[in-house]
Amino acid sequence: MFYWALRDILRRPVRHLLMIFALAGLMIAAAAPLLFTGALSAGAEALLSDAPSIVIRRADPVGWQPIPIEPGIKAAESIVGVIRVRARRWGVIDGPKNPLVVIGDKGLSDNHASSLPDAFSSDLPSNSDFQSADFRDFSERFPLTPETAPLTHETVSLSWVRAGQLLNLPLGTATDLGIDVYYPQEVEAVCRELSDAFPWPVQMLTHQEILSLFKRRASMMGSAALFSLIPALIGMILMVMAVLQQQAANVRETGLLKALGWTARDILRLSFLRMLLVIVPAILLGAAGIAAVFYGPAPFRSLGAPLGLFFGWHGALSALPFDAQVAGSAFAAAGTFILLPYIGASLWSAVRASAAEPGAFIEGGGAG
Amino acid sequence: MSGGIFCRDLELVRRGSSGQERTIFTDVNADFPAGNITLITGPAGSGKSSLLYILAGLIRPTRGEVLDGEEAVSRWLTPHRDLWRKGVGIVFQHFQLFAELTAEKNVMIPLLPKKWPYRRIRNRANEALERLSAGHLSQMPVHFLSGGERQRVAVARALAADPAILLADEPTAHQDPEGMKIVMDVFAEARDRARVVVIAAHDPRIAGIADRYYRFIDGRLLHDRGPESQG
Amino acid sequence: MIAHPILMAIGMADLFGLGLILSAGWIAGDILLHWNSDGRDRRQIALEARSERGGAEARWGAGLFAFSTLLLVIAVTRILPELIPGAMCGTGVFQAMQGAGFRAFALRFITLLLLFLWHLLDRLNRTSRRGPLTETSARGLLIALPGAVLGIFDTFKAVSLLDLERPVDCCAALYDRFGNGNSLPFWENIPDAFWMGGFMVTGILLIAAGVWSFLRPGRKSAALLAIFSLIWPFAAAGALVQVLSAYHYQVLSHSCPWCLFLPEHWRVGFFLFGALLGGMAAGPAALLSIIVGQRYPAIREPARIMSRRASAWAVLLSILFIIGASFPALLWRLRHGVWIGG
Repeated sequence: MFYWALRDILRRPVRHLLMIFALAGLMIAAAAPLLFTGALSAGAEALLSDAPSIVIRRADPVGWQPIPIEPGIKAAESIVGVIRVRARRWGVIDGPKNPLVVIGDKGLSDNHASSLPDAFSSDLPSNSDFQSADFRDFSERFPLTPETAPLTHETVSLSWVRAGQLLNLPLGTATDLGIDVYYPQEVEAVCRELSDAFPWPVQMLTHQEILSLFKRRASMMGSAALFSLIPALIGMILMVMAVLQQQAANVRETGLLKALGWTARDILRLSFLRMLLVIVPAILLGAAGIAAVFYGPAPFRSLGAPLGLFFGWHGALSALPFDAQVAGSAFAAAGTFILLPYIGASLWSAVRASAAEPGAFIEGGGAG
Repeated sequence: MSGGIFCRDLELVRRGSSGQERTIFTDVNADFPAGNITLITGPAGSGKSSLLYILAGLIRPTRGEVLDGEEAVSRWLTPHRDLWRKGVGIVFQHFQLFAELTAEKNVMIPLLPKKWPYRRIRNRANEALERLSAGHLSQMPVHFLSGGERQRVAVARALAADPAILLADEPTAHQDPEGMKIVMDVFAEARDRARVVVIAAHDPRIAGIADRYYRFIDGRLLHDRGPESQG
Repeated sequence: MIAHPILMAIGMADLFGLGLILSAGWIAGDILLHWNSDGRDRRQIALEARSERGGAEARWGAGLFAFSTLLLVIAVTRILPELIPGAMCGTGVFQAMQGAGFRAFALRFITLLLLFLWHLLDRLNRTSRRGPLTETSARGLLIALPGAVLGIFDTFKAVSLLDLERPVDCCAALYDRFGNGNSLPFWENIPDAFWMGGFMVTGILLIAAGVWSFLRPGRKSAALLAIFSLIWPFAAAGALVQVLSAYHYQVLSHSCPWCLFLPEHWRVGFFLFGALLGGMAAGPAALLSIIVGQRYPAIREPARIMSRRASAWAVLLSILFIIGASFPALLWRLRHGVWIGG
């Protein structure tokens, strides 16, 4: 039976090869938004694993205001349960190519020279109010796990003072305060007390809220990116129609096999084997494609360039950090979405044959 | 082993794509006992092939039933009819071979669902071809074969699984006298082994071998006395 | 509305499945109106052919419905909590679905049970050459059909209510029930000892009835098995969620059934609730097989075999559930010498 199925596939090798490539390609396209979303979520979790329990910012009716460091720290430390308060300088500035997240690092001197991240290797505007020498790659001083890469690839560090200048922070002020508490379960209670302790109105975000915000944003981006599935959906519909058309052409053969003593179960088994001979290579090719395009070395990643048409990147994609669970569930979801209609269409002729009269399929059902 | 197949009040009405109905035959009552060759004759389009299709369980009659012994097989559920059909061998009027396959592979098709070793299936297929003196055609794709050779491959395919019921639609239409004799010997052998053999044909050369005769006239199947009545 | 491939796959499987079930339902209606197994007339012969087509369509439709339900469980327990802000498990997802989710699940599982029983009738019917159960099986399909339609409708409604902008609070959904003693559902007031007592007593009775029905298949034993296999899952689920879940989560109390589906708890929920639903279906299956077997001699033997098989499954699944649900509690007791909560 297996050889018979194989023979059927080899009878039209080009058509089946194209089908395998089409299925694998659609699986890669469908998995892409899920992989991005998963990578962003995992990145947020890794990045925030050492983040403070509470972040406090000063706010007035106009918007965010720089927070005075000394009175701020004093007010926060007066609350029982607070074990550490850190002033932080960070913000978003216009970079030469893209907006950049700048982080002030007290450990850096003002006049150092260092290697620069990719974003600053060229195209610095001459009238820029910052100097390329100001910047250090964030990962140089802050050891970051690979999972954070999707979130930190446009983040750079510079000296505390220069960061303040670039972000227009007056002397002795910070962007916000990061507060660690002794018992994470007490965060809500500490927040209530903190809001009364400051002489200015403040807004607070807990670690959990920040994580939720990140994940929500990642989900929204992923959901928006899923509109890219529309071409995949159209492709899938066309493919299903092609399979159904092919099945219709094979209907005589199905009827004939039944007339020659094959049962509906035999025909279902044959259809199943035929289908396996297409979807197993497609799954393997799809998995290999996903590994190459999203996680592989640069030359392979450039294979994903056509996906940039949908997702808005140019050239080769940056490698995503590999997370077995994210990759596995994205692959499974994309596989189900793409393969289910194909499987249904492939087995349809067997379903019809299970109840149909085989004679109807053969030379007009014995017209004479 | 079948004790014979029997038609009771069979009717076949075909519906065209425009919804128009055409009665092919009606009130067909006929017996096809085991150990006999039954010949069905009649003008083209009279319903000979359709009756064979109904006897083979390939289509359902619109009324009446086909009995195998006492069981109304035409009304069995598909899985049971599928199993019953394993005991039926059929030679189609237009052969219905897989053109791109060799003769041997074509004959192997009815045997493939049997869970036999591949070699046994192959041997059985070649034996069937040998019986039709077509062993030398075994490895030839059937589209290279002549009409007569193809027909003998089709007969070999029908015989390969040693069916209890053998149905043949114009099985000698493309045979020369020698081929005709080979095919007829095979049917006679099946009769001698208590098989049900039903042949639908125009070919007057077959008449001599048959034991029972039916003739389609105006949509009705009438018992016939055989060659003397046609002469 | 969230666009996710798995939700699209659920939607597609549901639509195809519903189409097939509706088409089969149309034929089933015709069968109920016109079936005459003794007739040899045109209408009956045509109906026999159509009944087979309807049966095949219903089988594939039911298969797709079961598959989409499984995908929905996976989506609710594993995929959607990642997407819905604030959701940590299925509880948060259900909160986001605003009631339609619970209705969809309830309808789907009731329909699955009915479709399973229909499938049993259909299988028994096909063991006989002439299909003596065709009418009964058509009736069974028509009983399951409204559940399938409403279940799928509610699923679409529930999924369309999912919103990435509106956060939920998983734990609040769980613990808010304790905020006001008056609003507690009645089962929250039942003491743990009653849950455990009910779980053990009905479990033992179920196993005993199952063994009896396996050894001596008959109406009485199968009826008893069916009754206990319909009562026991409620006692078992109550004991699992209210008492035994604490040992799975290793906390004092966390009455959440959905957290059992999370990877940190070995996704044991799939196994436990799967066994529970399987056991729940097996008892009525044993009874139904015996009843139709006694009524239609042509299928008596296959029906008896099927009834015994269903009884064996009921016993096996209930034992597996008991082991899976109570193993962490026994382990805790062995390690610490006390039960959680003293």
